[in-house]
Amino acid sequence: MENLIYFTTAWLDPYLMLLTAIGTFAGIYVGAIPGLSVTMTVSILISFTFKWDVNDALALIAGIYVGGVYGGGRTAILLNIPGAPSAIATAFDGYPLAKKGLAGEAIGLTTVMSFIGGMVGVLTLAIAAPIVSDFAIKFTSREYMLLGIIGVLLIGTLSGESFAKGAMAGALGVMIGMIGLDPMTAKARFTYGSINLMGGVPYIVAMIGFFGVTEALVQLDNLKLPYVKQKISKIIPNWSDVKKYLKLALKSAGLGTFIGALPGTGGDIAALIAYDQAKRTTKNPEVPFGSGAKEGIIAPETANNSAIGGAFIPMLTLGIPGDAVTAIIIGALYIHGLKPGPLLLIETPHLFWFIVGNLTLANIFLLIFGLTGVRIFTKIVECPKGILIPLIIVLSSIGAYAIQNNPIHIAWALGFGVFGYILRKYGFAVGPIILGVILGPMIDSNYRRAMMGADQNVGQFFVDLLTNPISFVLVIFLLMMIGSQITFVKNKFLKLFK
Amino acid sequence: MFIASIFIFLETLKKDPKNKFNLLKVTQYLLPKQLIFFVSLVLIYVLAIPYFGFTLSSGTFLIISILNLWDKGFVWSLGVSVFSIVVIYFLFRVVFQVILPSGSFWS
Repeated sequence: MENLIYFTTAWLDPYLMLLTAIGTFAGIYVGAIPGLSVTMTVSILISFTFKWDVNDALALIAGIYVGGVYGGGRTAILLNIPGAPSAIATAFDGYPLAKKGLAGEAIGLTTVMSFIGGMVGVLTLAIAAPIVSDFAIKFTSREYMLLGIIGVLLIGTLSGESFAKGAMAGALGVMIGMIGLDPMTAKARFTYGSINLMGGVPYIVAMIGFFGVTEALVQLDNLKLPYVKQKISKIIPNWSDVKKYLKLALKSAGLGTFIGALPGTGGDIAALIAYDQAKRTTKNPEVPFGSGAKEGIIAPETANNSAIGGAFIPMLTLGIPGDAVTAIIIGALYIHGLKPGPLLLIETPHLFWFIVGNLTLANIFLLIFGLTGVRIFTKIVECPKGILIPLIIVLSSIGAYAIQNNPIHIAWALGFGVFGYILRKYGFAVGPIILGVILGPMIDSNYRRAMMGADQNVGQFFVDLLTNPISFVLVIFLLMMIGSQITFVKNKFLKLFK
Repeated sequence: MFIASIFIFLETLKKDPKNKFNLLKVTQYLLPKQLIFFVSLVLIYVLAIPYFGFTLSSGTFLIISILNLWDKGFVWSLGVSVFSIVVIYFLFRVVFQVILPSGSFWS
């Protein structure tokens, strides 16, 4: 009963409702405008909203998150330019549909399906998080250390072009996260005597640099993309269509939620896998995939929105972000003095149910805004990049500065941005770096605590690692994950399956 | 990190055995002119903020970069920049209550 009251907090307070609405509306445009991404916007916004009440900040951010993941699909359909990475798969079939003059219908269908996907994700979050949390209370610092390592490596295996590059990016992130005073002995690490480095690198600064500035610099490479205008027909989709594809949508949503819940993997990977899954399992599509199959837009769009709910599960129960945006939201929670982890649900149940209620509300707004205002939309999206890029840089610098009112952070954020650009050019993903920066200190402090538990005896530590059942399972999982990436094993196994 | 770097090095070697090292080409690929210009602009911008304050530095940065990236002429670039700076100033100073660096040059 109490939980229901917490759940409806955002529904009953007009101010919170307004913030969610603004967030969702803005999110749709942020997601849709190529060159602006949700991660970028949220990382910049966090630094301004930390003086706000935590509920207000979360309402706005949840709205932007939900709207932004959906918004990318619109530009993918209308312009063949995915507005966000999570919409890459949508463009495969969305644009061919638009060329047939079915842009309006496609947008309507994706809106309804995104809503369904989003709701499945939120529902799963509401059901699964308390269960995971109950289980996670049994975890000791040893398990947290292992979970942290798995999180950093998992995003490396799934997102980059090679495991080695992903692992290296993750390790680099961990190193950046180590800068500053040692949490146990207060010995300075990697500071080179600089006072500014003593406090460590605030990871929001690293995020603004690696996501905001890097993205802006990458956009410099494709400054002028031709826009193709589409005619928009009716938007409200046929009820029969929705009913017909409901099964596929629910399946994709389940898949999306699961992938979202894996640490480090979010909507972009969920969408691609769901598209692939739909392509393999749909026996007789009306139109072949790639030339305007409706299944081809439904699967990724449902999956990427359902991944939102999924991504919150490890974030709220274990303190390990499910994707880049939840990584930033963790930052916001820390700033507000909350500690995401298994105790969050017990100590602050209102916060958990507020987030669930808020995401539900954002999904409803998504349905409303998604089915209206498509015509004006096409005009706004054509915002020239020449204006956008410099503005992103200026906003990033204010964002970096505002966290601690320290001008040196502007230089760091922009420096990380240039560095991230070079990494991106060589096929390193920046996602693992950010995860490393966040999880690095967590791995570090939990390792130290585990070592204290083992009386500083390395042998005892390893014995504990293999004799405790939970640790043992995690160690096996970790070894399998690394093992499956070795070329020799890969080839052997592929032969076995053939 | 070091172990991973060895693997990447080996992967790169395997991928492209015929690739001869060409410094000029590599530099051009790594650093297109546009980027060099833009990055140095960003650098000057960073250095300028503590001296000239946030508003003036950002305004100048916006005018120069928009003029360069968006070919609509000086008047349009100036208009867009001034408008953006005014909006940003009010948004952050009033709504978000961020005290922007004012610059040591003026005080």
